[in-house]
Amino acid sequence: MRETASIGEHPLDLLEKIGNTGALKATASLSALAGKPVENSYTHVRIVPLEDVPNLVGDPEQLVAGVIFQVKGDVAGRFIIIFSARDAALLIHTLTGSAWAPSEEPTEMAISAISEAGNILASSYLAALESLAGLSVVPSPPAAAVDMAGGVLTSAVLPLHETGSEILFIEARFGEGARELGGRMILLPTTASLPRLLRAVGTRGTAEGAGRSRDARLDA
Amino acid sequence: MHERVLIVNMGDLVVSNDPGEVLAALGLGSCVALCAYDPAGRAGAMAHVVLPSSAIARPHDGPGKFADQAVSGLVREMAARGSREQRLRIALVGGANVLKSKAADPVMEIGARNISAVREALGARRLAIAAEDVGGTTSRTVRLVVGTGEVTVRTIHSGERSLVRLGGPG
Repeated sequence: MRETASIGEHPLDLLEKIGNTGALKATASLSALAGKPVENSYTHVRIVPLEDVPNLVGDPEQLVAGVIFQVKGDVAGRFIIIFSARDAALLIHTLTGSAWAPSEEPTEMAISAISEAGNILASSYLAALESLAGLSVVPSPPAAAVDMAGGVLTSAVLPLHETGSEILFIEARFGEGARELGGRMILLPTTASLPRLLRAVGTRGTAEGAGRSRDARLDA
Repeated sequence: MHERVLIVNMGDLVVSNDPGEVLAALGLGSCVALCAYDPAGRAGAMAHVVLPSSAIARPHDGPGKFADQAVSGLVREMAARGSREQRLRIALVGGANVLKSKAADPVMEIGARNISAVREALGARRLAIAAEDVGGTTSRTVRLVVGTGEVTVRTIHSGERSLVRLGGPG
């Protein structure tokens, strides 16, 4: 099997800018959907051995709600949205009017509310990537789970085991204030997609999203 | 008694004969925890299996990562500590399909493929499975208590329960 250049050789700060821009658009859409302010906190890029994936958001046994998309087109990989149990409960209550206690199994309606929020985030994020870099990026229908973080994350990244031993992890965290809706959006491009992604971003520029993300406040 | 927990990460294979130790794999989704116990030697082992076949293995992959290699590696490691293959009692946990999707995705079948690959590798060596908690749609945390051979399974909505005591009679 052909090994591409090590991930670490790529200019990762460019990817941070891509992540920022996507995250800004995405949280604005979520804010509009939920009718609540959602603050972007920060985007960071890490290279992670696949074996560490269960710990990507902390304790692998913690309950999370995850929405996972396969990404195809000019950039291939996975797009993952993770809500903590607290944020999932807030989201479900906001969108359906019904309360959900994390000790209970979520209803179908609760799962669809989470999936819908995931859909909005993913499509805005990826559309920003398209307009920024001129790349075609197509998400699959969402797969959702409310379960232990380890199980959700490992299931989401399994296909990447066949392409390398490390993954590039572009994570945007948003809404970490006590009364806000928060979560994490994670883009995991395959190693093979990286050169194309970086070339596109490098030539088209990233002025639109750069420098705004840390304190941009997006009220609905 | 104060127990020491050894975390068995993805692809790891961990062996212990210290009765104060517990082997644990946390939040297993489609992965499978392959547990073995030697009641006479009071030794236990756990492999955290990620994928069914070592056809895509790389040199630095862990000895427990692929179902086929995990079974032979586990037997070898236990034998190196004096636990004969015929004495091993086996439990399997995991292999769930955690993601609920309307779209067909072959990746979602990986839990089931992991389970059958482990069963096949065990069957080829005539190793029987004493107990299992596999499949379904829920992540699991698995613990193997080295002192007793007890295997416990924890899920978010059912809490922790005992699956089997591999050190007991039978």
